[in-house]
Amino acid sequence: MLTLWNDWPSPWLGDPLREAGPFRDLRRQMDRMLEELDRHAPSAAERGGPRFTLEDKGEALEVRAELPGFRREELEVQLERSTLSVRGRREVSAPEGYVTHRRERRSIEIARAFTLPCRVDPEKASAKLENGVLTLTLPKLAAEQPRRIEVQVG
Amino acid sequence: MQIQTNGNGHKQSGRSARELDFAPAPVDVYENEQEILVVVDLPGVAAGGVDVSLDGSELTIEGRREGRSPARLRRTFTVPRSVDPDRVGATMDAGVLTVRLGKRDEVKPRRIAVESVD
Repeated sequence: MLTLWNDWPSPWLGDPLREAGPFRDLRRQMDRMLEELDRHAPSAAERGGPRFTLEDKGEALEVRAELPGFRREELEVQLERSTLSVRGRREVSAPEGYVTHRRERRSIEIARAFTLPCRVDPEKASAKLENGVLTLTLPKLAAEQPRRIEVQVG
Repeated sequence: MQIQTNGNGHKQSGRSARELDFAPAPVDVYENEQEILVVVDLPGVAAGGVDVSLDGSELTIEGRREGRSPARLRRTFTVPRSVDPDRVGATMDAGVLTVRLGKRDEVKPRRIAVESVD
């Protein structure tokens, strides 16, 4: 799993839109409990920002991150030997002339570095940002590719 | 993307069992004299995976993410009467949904020209 959709505290008094549905009261209670917990523990965003996943696809490593609202030009991806670094930011601010009633989305600044589990070919690496999800495909060097070993009959 | 509006206030029922499958996404709400803006982070959700519907005063936003980490989410809000169901629009950009809820003309402030009498 990439990211929990969940766990966003929603302080929403004075909101022109009120959350509806049978779970409203329950959610309100949960929100209060979560906010209470939040006072003692840093939030996910403060701890490390968006979640990254790294998957070994055999011939390549695949790194994915949920980065809604990020622009391509606001992201910098670097590969140096087996260190991958990703930097970027998105700003969330009220549009000019609008009053803010609810603010759950946050401004995010990421500066992450990962040590990859094997050597990859920087020439063949590719990055794609689609619908707010960054996907990096990092093909492994030939020496790191999985090899099939024939079992000899003795 | 689908936008449905239904002005007659009819409510669907029997939704609670499905509701458990959905989780909330972070939402911003802004307002000016002309409209209310609802902005939702929906990473990985394409424009075709979003349904926005206004049923009476109930605004429902649903997103479906396909692929490797499928997810569904739903947020439901009660919108004020000032919203005009004929002026609801939504756009999806870089995994961020923006829903614009235009207000009825009669609730917008009107500028009255001051005439000079001399």
